[in-house]
Amino acid sequence: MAPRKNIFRGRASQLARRAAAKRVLHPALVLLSFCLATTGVRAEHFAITLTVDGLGEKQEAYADDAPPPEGLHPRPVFHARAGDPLTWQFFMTNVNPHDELKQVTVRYFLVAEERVGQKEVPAPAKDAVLQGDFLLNFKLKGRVGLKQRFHIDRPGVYLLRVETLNSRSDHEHFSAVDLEIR
Amino acid sequence: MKPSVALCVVLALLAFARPLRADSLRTTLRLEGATEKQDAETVPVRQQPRDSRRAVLHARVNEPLTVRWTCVSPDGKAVPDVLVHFFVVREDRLNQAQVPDLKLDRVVVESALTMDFKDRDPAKANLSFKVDQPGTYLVRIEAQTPDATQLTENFAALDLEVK
Repeated sequence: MAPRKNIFRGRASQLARRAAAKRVLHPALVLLSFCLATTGVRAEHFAITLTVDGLGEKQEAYADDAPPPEGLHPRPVFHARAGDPLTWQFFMTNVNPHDELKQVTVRYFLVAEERVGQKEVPAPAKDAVLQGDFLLNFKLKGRVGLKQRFHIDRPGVYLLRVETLNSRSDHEHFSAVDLEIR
Repeated sequence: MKPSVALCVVLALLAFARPLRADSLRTTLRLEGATEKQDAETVPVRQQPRDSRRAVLHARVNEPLTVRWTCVSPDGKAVPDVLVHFFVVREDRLNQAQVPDLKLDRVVVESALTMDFKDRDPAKANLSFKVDQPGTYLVRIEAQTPDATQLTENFAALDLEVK
C-alpha cells in the first residue's frame, strides 16, 4: 500500500481531475434545454451537442433523428485550411425519463464525402480521419463526452458525425457537421 | 453478550455496510500502434506499488494509434454513479509519478462517461488518434465514484513515447 502522504497528495489531484472531467461533461446539461426545445414530434432519448473549433471559426450542431439517414435538419458547415489545428468535442446525455438504456453504442467518425450537405451518409472507413465508439448503459442523465485535437491534411469535404446504434428505439439519434477543408 | 462476539457482530455489520466503490471495478487498457501494442489493467490506488513502471509503447509522429479500454464489475455487484475518465496527456518524462494537469494544449484526447455498473454490463471504448508532436504522453483510464470524501478510484495506465 502506498504511504499515506502519497495517498493524500494523489487524492487531491484525483479529485481535481474528477472535477475537470465533470467540467468536460457539464456543457451538455447547460445545452440540454436548448436541445429539448428543438426536438420534433418523436420522443427524444438523447440530447447531443457537437462542436468543431479551429482558427477563428466554430460550429455547433445538435441532436437530429434518423431515419432519414441525413436527418431532418441541415448540417452546419465548418471551414478551415488543410493542416490547421482543430478541436472537436461532443456531449451526449440520456434524457429519456422512463428506462435505463442498456448497452447502447455511440459511434463517431470523420470521413471524406463528395459534397457539402449530401444526403448519403458515407460508411465509416478504415482510412477515416477519426473514428471510435463507446458501449455503455445510459441511466437517466447518463452522459458520454469526448474532446480531441486533430488536423486534416488533404483538402476536401468531410462529414463529422456522432450517432447512437442499437438504442432499441424506432429511430436513432445523431449530430453532424460538414467540414470544408481548403 | 461477550465482547468478542460483539466485536464480530460489529465487524460483520461494517463489512456489509461498506459501500461498493470504484475499486470493485476492473479496467483494462490496450494501446496499439502500427507495429507495437501494450496492455495494462486495474491498479487500485491504495494497492499501487510505489515504484511500479508503466509499459511503454513507441510510435512515430502522426502514426495512427488505437486505444481500447473496458470497465466492468467482474462479480456483477452494483457500483452506482461511476465516472469513467480517459485521457492522453503530454508528460515530462516516462513513468512520471505525477499525473499532469489536463490543460487543453497538453491533452490529445479526453473522454468521460457516467454509468451505474451492474450485472456485469461493461463500458467499452475504441478510439483512434494521432500525436503530432514528439514527446512523452500518459495514456490513462480511471474509474471514480462520486464520494469525494473517500479515495475510491482505480486506474490503468501506459506511457507513449512519440519520436
